[in-house]
Amino acid sequence: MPQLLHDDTFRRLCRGRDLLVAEYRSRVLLEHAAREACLSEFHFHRLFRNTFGETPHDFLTRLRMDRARQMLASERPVTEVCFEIGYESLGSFSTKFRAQFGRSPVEFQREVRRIFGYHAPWRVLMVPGCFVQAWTGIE
Amino acid sequence: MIQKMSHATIYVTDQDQAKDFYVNKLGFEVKVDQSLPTGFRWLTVAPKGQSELEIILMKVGSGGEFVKMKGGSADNGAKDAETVAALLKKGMFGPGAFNTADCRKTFEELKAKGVEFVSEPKAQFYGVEAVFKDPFGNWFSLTQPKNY
Repeated sequence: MPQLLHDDTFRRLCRGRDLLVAEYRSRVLLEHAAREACLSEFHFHRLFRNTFGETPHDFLTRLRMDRARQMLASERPVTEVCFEIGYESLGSFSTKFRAQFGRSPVEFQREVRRIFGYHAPWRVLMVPGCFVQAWTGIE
Repeated sequence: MIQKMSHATIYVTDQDQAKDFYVNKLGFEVKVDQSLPTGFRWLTVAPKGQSELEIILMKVGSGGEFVKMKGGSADNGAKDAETVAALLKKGMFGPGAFNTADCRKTFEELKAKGVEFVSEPKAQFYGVEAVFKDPFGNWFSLTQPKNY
């Protein structure tokens, strides 16, 4: 079993991570989150990656992309989604989105509509069908 | 070959209360909280340090329809749900163990937040362990592993 981080350090790391979550829309600098955790940037980055399995930057990108995916599935316009999650350029948002999910935001939205129609955006959250079945009895 | 466990279920009788307990008292984060048009609510949480396993806070009572569809008998759906809720309350379910780097400190913190402990931190051969319950009766080991 991998060793657990010292309790106080873990707590401080969580504070920095919480700040990234709370301000994922803005351009939060690593320095800001590291300061919240009372750690140097270098140590924050290293401990964050060792503890949570991804770098702070990757964590932030994943958060933004997950949020983008949900908003796009809910029929929000691509430009609106782009600015809402903190990107300043449509080009870099699209590139990042494509790198993450293998298709552009527009293509993703089109595909969601084609597969699920306009009224079931929750499906893209991939709630396992067996659990939904267990509740509703609908196969 | 199975490589990972991604979700595990904890049965609860009230998902709002469960969310409050697991997030505001235990300090977990919500992974997904999505209500479907059918009334089904998919609510998953996880400790902040754990990204690979989500805990499903599943409302007691779901499952009967699934059993019936698969050819089983679930004629007493409401009664079965009551039975499960009663068993939960009696403390018949211990869904798992959580790790902490400092069991005694975490015990004090959680106790101050109103978490009910079944047993206080005790030295065991594998570390220091306390046992707490959620508001529905699920009990968990809170362990500080010895190798820490």
